[in-house]
Amino acid sequence: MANSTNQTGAGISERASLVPLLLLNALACMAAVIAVLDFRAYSKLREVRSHRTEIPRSGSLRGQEAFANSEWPGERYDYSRYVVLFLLSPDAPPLAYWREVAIRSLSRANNVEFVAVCTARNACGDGPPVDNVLTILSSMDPFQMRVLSVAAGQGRALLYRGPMLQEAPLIGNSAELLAGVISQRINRQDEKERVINIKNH
Amino acid sequence: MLSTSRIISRALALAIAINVALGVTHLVLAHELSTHGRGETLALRSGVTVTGERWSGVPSAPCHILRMTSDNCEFCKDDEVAYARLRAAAARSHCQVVEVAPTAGMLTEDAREGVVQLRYIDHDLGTLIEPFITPHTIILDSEQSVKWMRRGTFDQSALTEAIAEIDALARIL
Repeated sequence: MANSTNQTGAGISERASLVPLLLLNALACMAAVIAVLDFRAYSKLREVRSHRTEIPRSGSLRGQEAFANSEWPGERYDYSRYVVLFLLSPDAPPLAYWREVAIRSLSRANNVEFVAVCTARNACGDGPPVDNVLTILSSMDPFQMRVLSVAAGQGRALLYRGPMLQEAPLIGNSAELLAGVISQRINRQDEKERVINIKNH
Repeated sequence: MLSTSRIISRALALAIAINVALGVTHLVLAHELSTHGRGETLALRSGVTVTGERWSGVPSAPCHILRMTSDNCEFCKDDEVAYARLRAAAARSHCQVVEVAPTAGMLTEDAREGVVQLRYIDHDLGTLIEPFITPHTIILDSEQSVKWMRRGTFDQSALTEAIAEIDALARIL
């Protein structure tokens, strides 16, 4: 009888000593779950506070012309066309710089349009450029404006082929250098496509 | 030499302390995320409407409500009743409601009193609208400073908060 009581007592004692261990286990699991949630929340907070973001690989490329009551590119959207998109602002290189980049690039590469987006009236000039080397827009949709702003913050322009980003070249001080980078990229892409077309035929 | 039970007791105390600390951290992070952006300024000054007209803002409005939305946003449709109540509050307070879609062509014309639908904007709206979640509602004061923000649909308490914010901004001016 005494033995049975002792055995029962030992059983209860074993179960009692398991409870703190189970509780410890549960607390450890809970801490792990909360730690994961905290890490995710912290990552999200860092992401929303960060001003350094990647430039998206595609754009919407729609806007409003600054000196005409019409949308760009309007009905004449050509997916094979290259577009160099950049921001014109008091802090950015002036219109004359971009005219030089455009003229030099156009002498070496085909089918490319240079499109400037003005954020301040005094950066746009008084009217449309007479030589039509540049297209000037006053506004774009929120997504494209964001992309442009991110690129401008990094000192870059955007080279698109249709809606797809080809390159985000650094602007720099030399119009000649930038024109070289742009035209080389375009010619390289065109050559690649020409080779693919030959193979397919 | 500590007994097993004392070790376990101390481990339990430590585990409880760690859980409390992590829980407090979580509350702080959640609060930071919900109040992120307050006090920042948005450049919502001008743009082009969905009908192709220039819009130059309403500088005299006591507040502005920026609503990021889209025709194919199902959550926006689910949120329509709450959003309609918000618009009604904005109308009572003479606040301007501005709707934009992330990209052009995602917003069909829907003329309503006190609501402007923009297709294009003249300035980048900034990192507050990133990522482009729809619906996303931002309440700005007369100086375009962010006073309140909600990513996603409204629940009852968020709607009550938003309407209270609009009423408070209207009373200031």
